[in-house]
Formats: sequence, structure tokens, C-alpha cells
Amino acid sequence: MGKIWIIIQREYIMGVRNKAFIVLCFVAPLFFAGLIIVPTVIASQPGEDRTIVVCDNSMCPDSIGYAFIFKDTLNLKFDYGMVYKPIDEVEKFYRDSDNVSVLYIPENFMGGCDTNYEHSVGLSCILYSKTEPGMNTTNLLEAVMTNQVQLDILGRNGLTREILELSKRKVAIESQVDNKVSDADVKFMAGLVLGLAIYMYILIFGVRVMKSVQEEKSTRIVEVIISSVRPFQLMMGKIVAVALVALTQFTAWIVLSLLILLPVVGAINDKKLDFTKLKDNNSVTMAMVNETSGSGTVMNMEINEKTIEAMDTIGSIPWGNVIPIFLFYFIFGYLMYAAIFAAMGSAADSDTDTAQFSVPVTVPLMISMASFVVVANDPHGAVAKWLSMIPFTSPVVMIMRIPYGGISTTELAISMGILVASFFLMTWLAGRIYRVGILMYGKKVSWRELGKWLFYKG
Amino acid sequence: MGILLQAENVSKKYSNHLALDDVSISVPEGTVFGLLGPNGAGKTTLIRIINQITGPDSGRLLFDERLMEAHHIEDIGYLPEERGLYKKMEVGEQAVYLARLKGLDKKEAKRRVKEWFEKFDMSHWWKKKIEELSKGMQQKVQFIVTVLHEPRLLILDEPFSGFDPINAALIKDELLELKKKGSTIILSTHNMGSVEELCDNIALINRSKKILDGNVKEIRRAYAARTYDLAFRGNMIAFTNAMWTGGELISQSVDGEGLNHVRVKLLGNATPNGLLDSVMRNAEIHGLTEVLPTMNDIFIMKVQAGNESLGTKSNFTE
Repeated sequence: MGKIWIIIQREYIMGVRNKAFIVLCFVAPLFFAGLIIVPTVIASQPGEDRTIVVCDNSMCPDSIGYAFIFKDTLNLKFDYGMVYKPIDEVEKFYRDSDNVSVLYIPENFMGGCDTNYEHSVGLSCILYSKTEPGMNTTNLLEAVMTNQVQLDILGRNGLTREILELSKRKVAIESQVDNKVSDADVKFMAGLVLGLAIYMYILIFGVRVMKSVQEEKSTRIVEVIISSVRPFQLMMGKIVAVALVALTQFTAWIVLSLLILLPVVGAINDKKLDFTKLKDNNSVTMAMVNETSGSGTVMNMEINEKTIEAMDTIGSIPWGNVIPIFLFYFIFGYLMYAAIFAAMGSAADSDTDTAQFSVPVTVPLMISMASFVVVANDPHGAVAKWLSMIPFTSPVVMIMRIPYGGISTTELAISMGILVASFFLMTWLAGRIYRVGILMYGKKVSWRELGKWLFYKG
Repeated sequence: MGILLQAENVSKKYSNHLALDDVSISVPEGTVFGLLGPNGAGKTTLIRIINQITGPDSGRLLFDERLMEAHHIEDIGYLPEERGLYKKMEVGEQAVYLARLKGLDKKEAKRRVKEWFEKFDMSHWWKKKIEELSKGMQQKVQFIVTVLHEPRLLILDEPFSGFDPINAALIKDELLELKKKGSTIILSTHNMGSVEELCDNIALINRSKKILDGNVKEIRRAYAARTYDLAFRGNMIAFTNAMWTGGELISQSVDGEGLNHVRVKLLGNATPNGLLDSVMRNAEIHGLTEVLPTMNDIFIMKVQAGNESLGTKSNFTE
């Protein structure tokens, strides 16, 4: 045991001192933090101040016109000083001014206020600017005008916005399992994320074990080591150390992400850079739209309800059970695959050989990942049940099923038992291949040859 | 002087070939033992069995006259032929790591590594990575790692390959020093010069069988072919006429000072004294020495004889 411990220490230290590890530790959180921070910072930057000169040539009377529907926002000012002047005149007047755009509503807009207008042609306006006005500005103008046009068309056909909203109502089927509200989408996502985590973990760190074994073999250090420790001790020490490196990486990611995110979020709040402005901007737009429609809030409330329901479902997943089960499949799945990867690494003489041996090992993993659609469609169907019994697929598949609930303790116990038994069997088999493989140089190894190694005497 | 290591009737079979066939060796304590044989003869297999890397199918090993056990590997230092080090690891910490695997505690390992590094004038390498060192430098590190835990038995597989002559001499001296201090050394090599220079006893393995073993000097004497080098001043023709009954002239040469050097193989019942008697009248004798066969000659002779008796050419590979 003492020697395994020395091996674990070395493998661990070398693992965390590795450049790739350090880079990944720092880059990944920076990347994720960047994904969150950059758009937030960009979005919270106040846009350039701009004046929009509205020029309405549609000849519509004020009562149904489109000229006066805009309200000033934080950085947009609407100027109605030349609203009915011809476009040539307006454009000439503002041609040389920065930060000024002219919104031109042409003569034929909405059929020139023909009350019988039913076609959707000619619904375009032009925004003349000397400098780029930005997408936010055009989006805002489009949203406000589209809303107004919809309202207009409804009105001309004797309908109101309320009727339109009523007609759009959807039938909802609430899935109740065990008298609890259940949301299959959220469970599907939870299962997928957990399954994917196990899949990625096994693949990335399993391959790392394989590379490390192959490196020891190709640098010829291995014979020196195994004259001091048993090959099995070396293999297990390596597998455990790589697992610890992986756990360190995850912990580092979480801690570093928080360390990066918290001060930045703090800074944003301190400087009031901020979310409030962003919100203000949104709410002004919403207000403009709402004012014209009167019932936009219905939509808003629906979204909120959905979010709350999803949160409820996430809460209703029995995390107290899921997390220990996740850890169990995570650890034993990794250990079993890592042993197999170690055996494959020991048989390989070069990088190209590792590819030859690793592909067949990854196939069951890929099958388990690819089965997620089938599993999600029928979490208790035959395919899902079988795949969560087979030890090569059970770590991923079982964890994808767990959020749906309804897996009997017996079923879970059998699956876990098979996995643990397979872990011992695979580690034993891998150990037998490993001890022969690491000393086998310059020989192209076939699968048949691997089989023979199993029966070599110690 | 007791026997430190004894292998008794060791056999080992891999799926389709016999690597060792009933091989026995015994290595006296405090001596250098040469393990000789062509490539693929089974030397490395025997060494791996002694190192407990693999086990024998039959036969047994005794260490210090007791059945060999797992803990005995801490009494063995092994420098394999296919040797390497972790490329990305620093020299110092690597040496300490390998010493700890041999059972030294961290502090003691560090102290000894420092001591050896100073001795070999390589203290400034401590923080260097192995990949920054030349091959010869790496070999030195490997040698130190092998002897660091002061094992009672050192097993060195082709220790001189890859060394320049200066470093090879350094290692040779170091081995003799270790022997003087009481270490027992098993040397597996093709370098017959170093065998004559260093080894007290040898075993020759060919095609998985031991075909010769014993004390180096005794073996050479046993294989002596009654051949003598004779130096004389005088008439060469008169010399050959005088010795024709008892000997056969193998080679002859004259050096810059006019001294004749001949190699003579004695025939029949002839003795060196008889030879001297018959030629003394015609020549002024300057020296007579017996020519012992080199280990190289014996090696080639034994291996070829063994292969011919099996009707095959030598140098098969694994």
C-alpha cells in the first residue's frame, strides 16, 4: 500500500504540474466567465445617443398614422420637427450630422392609408444615417412599428388585440407522476447533462490513463519501476491518481469560476454599469409595445410561469438520491474504463497503436450516449433497461434515467452490483494484459495476442 | 563466502516458445557474475524472474539461501537493457522517487541522491528535466538510481552500451568499488572484454539452456588449446626444422628489432619443455607464454557448436 501511495503522489503531482492541466484549469473558467461577462458588459454599455428624425410621407391622418408612436428612450430621441416635410428636404438637412438618423415612412406604406388595404407588400421604411445606427436601434423601431401595423390591421377588420391573443391559446397537458407535477423536458435535460458529464469524464481521463501508460512503456522507464513494485500496483496507482487530478480540475474550475465571476459582477454593480439600464431599455421598448397593444404583459407572465414550473421540476428531482447515485456510477464507470484503457495503452507501442485499441473501447460509451433519445422517449422501456444493466453502458444510461424516477431499488441494486463486479473483473483482466504488454516491445499486437496474454502465468 | 543467489532448475515457457529450459545458476556473494549468451537466448527472461517481474513455470530461487520472497526486491538493484526515465520529470525528484519505490524514506533518499550527484559532479543537474540531458548523462542518472539503495545484489543488463569510453571506465571503476564493499553483481553483456576484466564467474546460455558455467579463469584454462607464444632471436628456418615433430606453427612475424614472434600449437605428447629443448640449440629464447582462449573465442565456439548440433545457424531472435 505504501508504494501505491508513492505512485499516486508522483502521478498526481506530475498531472497537476502538466502545462495542459494548468492551462485548462485557468482557461476554461476564463472562457465560461467570458461567455457570461462579455455579453453582459457589452449589453450594459449605454449605446450612443442618437436622434431619430421621423419623416412620415404616408399621408395618413394623425389618428391612424405611424409618425407619433415613438417615445424617447435612454439614448434615442425622437424629433418630430419635420415630420410631414418631403424626404429630400429632410435628408439634405441632416445629411452631415453625426448621430442623427432619418426614419422615412414612404408614401405607399400600408397602401397609403387605404382603409381596404389587405396586402402585406410595401411594409418597409428606410432609416437614413451617416454613421451606423446599430442593431438595437433598428430592432426597436421594427418592433414598435410592427406592433402598430398588427393593431391597425386588426382594427380595420373589426378585431381587437385581445381577440387575437385569445385565439392563440394552447391546450396544456400536465404530466403528474405520483401526484407530483413532472416536466419531461427538464428531466431530459438533467439526465442529458449528468450522462454527458460521466461520458466526457470517462473519455477524457480514460484516454489520459492510456497515454500515460503508453508513455511509460515507450520511454522504457516501466521495467525499472516494476522491478520495485508490482505491475498491478503501478496500474492502480496511476488510475487513482488520474481520478484525483480530474477531481482537482473540477474543483479548480468551480472555485476559479466563482473567484472570477464574483468580483466582476461586484464591479458591474458598483459602477452601476449595469443591468438596470439594460432593463430600462427593455422596459421602455416593452412599454412602447404594450402601450400600443395593451396586452403584451400576458406573454411576459407566461414566460415567467414556465420558468417557475421548470424550477419546480428541477426542485422535484430527488437530488438527495441522484447525487450519490451519480457519484457511484461516475466513480465505478471511470475505474472500470480506466483499467481497460490502461490495458490498451500497455499493448500499444506508439500513438497510432493507441488509436487502434482505443476505438473499440469507446464504442460502448458512444452507444450509451447515442441512446439518449430512446431513453428519453421511454425511460422504462426495454432498451433503457437493458442498457442500464450492461456495465459498459450503465454508467451513462442509468444516470440519464434517474431524474425521471420510478426505477426500483432492486433494478438499481442489480445494475450497481453488475457494475462493481465488472469493475473487479475488468481490472483483473486488464492487470493481466498490462503486466505482459508493458514489457512487449517492437511487436505489432493483435487482439488475438491480447487474448493469449490473459493466460500467461505470472 | 556464501551463495547470495541461487536459481534451481528454472523453466519458463511463453505461449509458443521455451524461454528458459531447466537453468540453474549460483552467484557467490561479493563476486561479479557474467550472464552471457546470444540475443534471444533467455538472459533477460532469467533476469526478470530474479527481479520478480515475472515468475518461473517451474524451479525455484533462493536468496541468501532462503526461498526468495517479495521483500527481497528491495535488496536488488536492476538496470535493464531497455532503460528509460520520465522525460518531463526533474532529475533530482525522479531519482528520489525511484529510491523511495525501493524502500528508502524520503529524507534518506534525498541525502543519498545528493551524495551521488556530488560524487559524479552533477549536482547542477538536479532541477533539469531528463529530456534536457544527453544520452550519456541519462545513463549516469540511471546507474545512480540502480545503486542508490545500496542493494546486496546488482543486476546490470548491458550496462556499458551507450557510454563513451570515459564514462564506461567511470562505471567500471564504480562497479569494482561496489564489489570491494561487498556488493554482488550480475552482469549481462555481449562485451567479452569487460567479462574477462570484471567477472569472477560466468554462465553461458544458448537457446534457453545453460551450456557452460564456472570460474572465468578455470574455463579459459579448460579450453586452452596447448598453444604458446614464443619470442626468439635466430634463424627462422632452423627453428621450424627443429620443432617439426612436436608442434605446428600457427603464425609468425618479425618485429622492428629483429625478434621473431611465433605461435605454436603443441601436438601429440609434446610439452612446452620439450619444445624449448628442441629449439634452444638454434635460437636465443626471449620468452614463452601460454595462450589462453579469450572469452570471446569460447563464446563463439560454444554457441556455434550448440547451434550446429541442432542443425541451424546461430543468431535466431525472439
